[in-house]
Amino acid sequence: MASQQKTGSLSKGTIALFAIALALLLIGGAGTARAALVYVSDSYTAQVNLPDIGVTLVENTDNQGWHGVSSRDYDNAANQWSATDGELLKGLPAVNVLGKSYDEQIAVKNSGNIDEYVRVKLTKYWVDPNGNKVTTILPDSVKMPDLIKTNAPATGAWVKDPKSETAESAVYYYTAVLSSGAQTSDLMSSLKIDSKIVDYVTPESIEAGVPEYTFNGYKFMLEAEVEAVQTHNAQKAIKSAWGVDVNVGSNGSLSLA
Amino acid sequence: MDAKGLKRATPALIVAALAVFMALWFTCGNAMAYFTSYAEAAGGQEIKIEAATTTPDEPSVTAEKKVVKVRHDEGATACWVRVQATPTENCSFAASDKWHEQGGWYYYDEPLAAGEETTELNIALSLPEDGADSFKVLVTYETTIKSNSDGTAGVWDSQAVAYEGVKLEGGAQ
Repeated sequence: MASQQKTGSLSKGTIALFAIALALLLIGGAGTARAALVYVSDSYTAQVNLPDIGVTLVENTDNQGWHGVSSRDYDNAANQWSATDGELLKGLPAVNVLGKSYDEQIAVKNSGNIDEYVRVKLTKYWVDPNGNKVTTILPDSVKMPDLIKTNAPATGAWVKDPKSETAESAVYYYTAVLSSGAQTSDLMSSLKIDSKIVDYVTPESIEAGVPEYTFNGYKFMLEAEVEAVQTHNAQKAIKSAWGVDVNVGSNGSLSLA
Repeated sequence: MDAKGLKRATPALIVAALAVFMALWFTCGNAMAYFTSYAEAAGGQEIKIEAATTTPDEPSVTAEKKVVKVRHDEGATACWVRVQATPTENCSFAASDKWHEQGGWYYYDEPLAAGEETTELNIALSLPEDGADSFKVLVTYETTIKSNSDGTAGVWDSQAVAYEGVKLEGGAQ
């Protein structure tokens, strides 16, 4: 009788718990099985064998040669990330010819071992002598970031997302698969400061006859944020990582949905 | 639940906890399946604009020619230079390869950085047959620190040149 009671007690508590456990395992198992079905493909094999993703922002300033500025690469064997953080425009000569285009090439290199898609957010802004971002020293009709001109080759290799564009930033998507070790075409090729800034002088200096230019002491800034994501299951991966809908062509070409 | 009941239920609780852990593990594994990376950098440069301050080299004047050069004395901002000599009917120019003529002005093709000077602009004078002693030629030069959209030449609007404009007056000797 005692044995029957024990068995009966187990069947109530334990069975309920096992039922929950079984349900959870089935949910998890089903998800995994579904993922396995999705991942069984040629590129899945590549993903397993070469799982190190990496990306490097590269620049060529004043034709001094390409070099990496910042990077973040995953080392699967060591199970760790290696990263470098550099400064953009470091080798740029003094911008003392207003309106002149200075050679400043920026691109992205795949420093990982798997193919990837990349996008870059370019941001332009001004900071005052104290390092604070400024937007209001000119009349409202003038957008200060517009005085920093970046020129890009019209190759079609990069497309700008109009939905994400603001007065000071824009996001550019590289439309092709960036193979391991490869470098994109130039996202930008030159930079110049619009000579319109000469038009802005302080009222006091105009009266004095010696111009004191409004922008003196201010610093123009260029910021580049590069993001990379795997090519396998690209639409879902990009939606998950970047939050945007894209179309992927049969040749791997990327376009915004 | 008494101590005895808890003891009886422990194996079941362990199994259930294990099941929950495994379920979460698999679920998280799916969510973290995408490989991503990023890199970022920023940089800039301070702008220092100063009105161009230039000095015309003392023109070398003879009875038949003037030699004009313009030097950019100071200021971090490079400037563009143009020169005009009037009356034009009495002048002919023998410019070096860095000058070009347009609309009666001679433009220097490169911006002058601080401390630089133009190459020579030779102005030959055709002296009138009568009254040569009273003949004068007026050389005007202007500078601007404003470039046009492609950065290859100066913009000569009124504001850009408002701060410079020197006239050199010299007579043929």
